[in-house]
Amino acid sequence: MAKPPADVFFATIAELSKRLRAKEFSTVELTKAFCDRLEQTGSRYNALVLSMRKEALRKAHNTDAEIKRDRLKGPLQGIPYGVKDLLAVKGYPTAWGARPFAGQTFPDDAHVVAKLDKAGAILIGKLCMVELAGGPSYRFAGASATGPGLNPWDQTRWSGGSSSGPGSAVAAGCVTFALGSETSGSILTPSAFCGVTGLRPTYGLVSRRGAMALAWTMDKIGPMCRSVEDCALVLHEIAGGDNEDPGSAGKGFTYAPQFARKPQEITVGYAPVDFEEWSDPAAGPAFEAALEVVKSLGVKLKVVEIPDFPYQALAGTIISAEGSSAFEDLIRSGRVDELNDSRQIAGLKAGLEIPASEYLRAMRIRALVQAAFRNLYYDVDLLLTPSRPGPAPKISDPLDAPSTRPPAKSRGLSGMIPAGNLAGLPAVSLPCGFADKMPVAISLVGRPFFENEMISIGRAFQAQTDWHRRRPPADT
Amino acid sequence: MAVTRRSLVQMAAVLAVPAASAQTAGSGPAAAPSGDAQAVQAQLARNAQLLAQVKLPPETEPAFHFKA
Repeated sequence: MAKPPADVFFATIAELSKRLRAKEFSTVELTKAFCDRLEQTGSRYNALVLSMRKEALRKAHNTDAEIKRDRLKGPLQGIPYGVKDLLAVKGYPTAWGARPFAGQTFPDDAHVVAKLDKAGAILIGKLCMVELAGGPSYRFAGASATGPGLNPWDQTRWSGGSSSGPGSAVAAGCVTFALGSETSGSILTPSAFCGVTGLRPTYGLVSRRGAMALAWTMDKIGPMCRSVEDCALVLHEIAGGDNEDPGSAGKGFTYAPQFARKPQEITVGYAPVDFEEWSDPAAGPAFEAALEVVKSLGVKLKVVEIPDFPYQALAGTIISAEGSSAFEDLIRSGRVDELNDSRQIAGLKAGLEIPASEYLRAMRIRALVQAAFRNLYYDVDLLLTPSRPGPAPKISDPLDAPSTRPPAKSRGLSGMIPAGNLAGLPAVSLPCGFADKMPVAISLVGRPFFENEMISIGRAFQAQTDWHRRRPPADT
Repeated sequence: MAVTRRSLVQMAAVLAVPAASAQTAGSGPAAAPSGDAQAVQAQLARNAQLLAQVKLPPETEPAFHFKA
């Protein structure tokens, strides 16, 4: 068999699976090619923590033997992937992006890693992240033991966080897909900034056993891929109940495009003000063009507004209180001072002082938020909004710089990232164009456990556009 | 054994030492650069103010058993 051609690095799961089964190249050859690329290119973007070449090649040999005997498992068999370094992999260090946890190991694989292993996917590396997934907040892109995540579209810009490595590794063609995690924006943001498709599942759909805990009532694990269909294929394998995860909803997910409702039967809620005023002027044309594409699919559109709650304050209070509790030992030991970001250090310490009454108040208001979204979803099936108002910031820019633009005339759906995370809603970020030569994206946000609906509209969107197929300039 | 006021004070002093050192072990809030600590405290205070403005019916229970 021949060495895999360079186009494999940007192929989808379905395309690679077909070519592996056609024996165009072997799993070993494919794995070697991806390991080479991840080690060389991934390191350039501060995306790679640890190559797992040896173990990956051992599994690839086994996979080739299976394929030879027609023991076929499914579309992920033989597909190379990476995981954010907050997921445990037996026998390998899992540092959570943070210097105080360097060299930390766990006795078992994270549940999602075990599931993907069973599905035949081949883990080739652990990927960089913002330290402790950024909890409770951080001020600079350099908040990581491995340095700032660099964007393959422009290395002077940030890849986004906290799943920085998964975002840049998928964008740069170093892995076919990656697993990230989101507490409040950590899948959607790097997906949008790096021009990849990212899916945040409903809270409780994917087990977090073996994953670092930041905020128990908000943490979720999800795929970052080349297309929404790839996200669906990965979610199909990693979703499912788990008695060992107290947050598990005990539900599974079956990717069933054949049963998807027609776009004409789906109502999409959106707010014109998001596209006209909340977005950066440079990104406005891309967002408006994306809205036109969604309209052309034949969906019913309805103008809506996000329920009125202080979402940032709610998410901030809950993540601070839960995160500081989760890392109380680190804080009390003083080793928290080894983190890179001084704002994050101060935030973790201050989180221990949040009164119980404030945390309880936030959690009670959160119950109202959930009820308000249940009401909103009586009228719509999906919400559509820009994933982020604009493209990735420069590496050196402080992330808390106040906006210099005048406030919009209404709230629209701004604040959907904290709101969607507080309400546990699923979302998918779809690349939709460019601003300042950097990718921008829209998000579809669905009802809890209705991932198939947003996937079907996402697929229809990507059938009409090729933004998800674009490659960074260095790799075209 | 009778518990005297003096023995209670002595017991409290013994218990207070580890508690105090736990709070200040390594570095307390004061060890962080003051600008960051102040910014974080100000943000938490703003958060608390915003949450206090939300009208909350007394029967509303916290979303502790959180299911989406």
